[in-house]
Amino acid sequence: MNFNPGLLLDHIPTLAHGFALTLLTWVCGTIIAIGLGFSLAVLQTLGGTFQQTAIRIYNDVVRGVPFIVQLFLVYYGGPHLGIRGDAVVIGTAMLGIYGSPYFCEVFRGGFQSVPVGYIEAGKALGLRRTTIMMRIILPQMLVVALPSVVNLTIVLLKESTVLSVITVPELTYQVSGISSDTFAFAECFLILALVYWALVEITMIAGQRAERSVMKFMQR
Amino acid sequence: MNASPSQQRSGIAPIIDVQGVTKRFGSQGVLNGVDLKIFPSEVVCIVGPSGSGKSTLLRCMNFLEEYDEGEIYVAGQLIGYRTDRSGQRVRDTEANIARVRKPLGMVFQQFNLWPHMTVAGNIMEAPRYVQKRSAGEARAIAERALEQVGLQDKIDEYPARLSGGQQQRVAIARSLALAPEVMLLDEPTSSLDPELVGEVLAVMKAMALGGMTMVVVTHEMGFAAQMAHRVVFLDHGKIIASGPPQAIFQKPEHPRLEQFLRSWKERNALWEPSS
Repeated sequence: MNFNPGLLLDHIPTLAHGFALTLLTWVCGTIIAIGLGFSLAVLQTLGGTFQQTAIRIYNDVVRGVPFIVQLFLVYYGGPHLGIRGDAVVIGTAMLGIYGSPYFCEVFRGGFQSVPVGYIEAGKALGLRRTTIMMRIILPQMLVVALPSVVNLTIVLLKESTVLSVITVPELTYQVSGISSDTFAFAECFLILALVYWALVEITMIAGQRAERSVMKFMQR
Repeated sequence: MNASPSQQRSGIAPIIDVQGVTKRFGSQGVLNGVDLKIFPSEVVCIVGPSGSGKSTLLRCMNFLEEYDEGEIYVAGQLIGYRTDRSGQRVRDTEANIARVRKPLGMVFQQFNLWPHMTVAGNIMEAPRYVQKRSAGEARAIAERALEQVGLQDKIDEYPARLSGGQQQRVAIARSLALAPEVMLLDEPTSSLDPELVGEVLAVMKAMALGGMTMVVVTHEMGFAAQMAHRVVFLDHGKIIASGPPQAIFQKPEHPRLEQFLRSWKERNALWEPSS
């Protein structure tokens, strides 16, 4: 048996670059997914039948097609349809789109969980619609939505590994390259697994802290 | 207390003027042509069986509920609707509705305090974001409002840590903080434990004695008898009796009202009358 994780030390600059790109695609992809999902949820809650139907179809399609197929379609098929772009840009945008329907559902459920009476109290006191949205509905919705938001953020981190198939040089891409150059498959992928696991743990701890602070008021 | 100001004030304009209001849910008529004037400093209790439309009527007064026909004027201004260029009645803008609503305070059966804000935060919200006051001013307003309901010591608590009665008193303070001309109270004690009803009624009595104009939808006949200038009995979306509490409670003329009061007395009797 030969197990020598030390040989990865020779590739630290490459790995660091890959790690940075993993963080970039993940964080930006998640921000896009949350922003898009939130806008869709607002539209679905306030919009008419047309918007609601359009959003339902969008959600079904994006959730119904595997992420890798979506990536191939847009990255390799895109140029034939006039969509061209850098792998990192397309990959990040697609990660955001892929996550958006899940966030949309979470936020929509969150909106529905806010009692109408809270909104009526705001209206009766003369608060403007945006004030009611930002200061009453949103914080209340977060209480319900936050655990799922943390979960989805973790899912998107793991999905970001799929970007390696369209040559986004993120961590999984770099480690695969190193492993096939050195044949140190066990070392490479064990370390890779540990890195993702550590990121997931950190995210979960941060999420639990956020949940606790958001729910402070519920402690009797 | 029960001397009605409305009778001596024929020259004074009503603060709320409900004229021929009709509202339907589908084909079901909830309000069927209601006329009701509320005069300044008057305490009016709206009573009636559940489903009679009393809460709907109150909610129409500040346009939390749309109505189909008729008009409701608040301080002389039509609430909820305007006439467009073709003469059609259309829903008014939210900004206009908010402006016409200004003289009205509202207290809900379920309190509707915002649970993520402290008591201070709940009360300060409207002074800060509607009246654009500074945090310091708003805090002073909250302190004064809480004094009126006797809960100064709870200013920094979250609503979840308060009893139902205390929550409702905070909700009243939240409304009072804007110094409304009229308080609308929608079954303010109906979701409280019986033992907590008294503290809320005490606050309401103090408000009434302080000259506040109040419209109260309630099942508390005792409060109505003691504090109301006028009791309005609603059944199937119609006002079928209206008058000073003595007349309503002691000499009910309408058979439906008589039946309603008899069933109330039976429910509230501690023992069967012996004879």
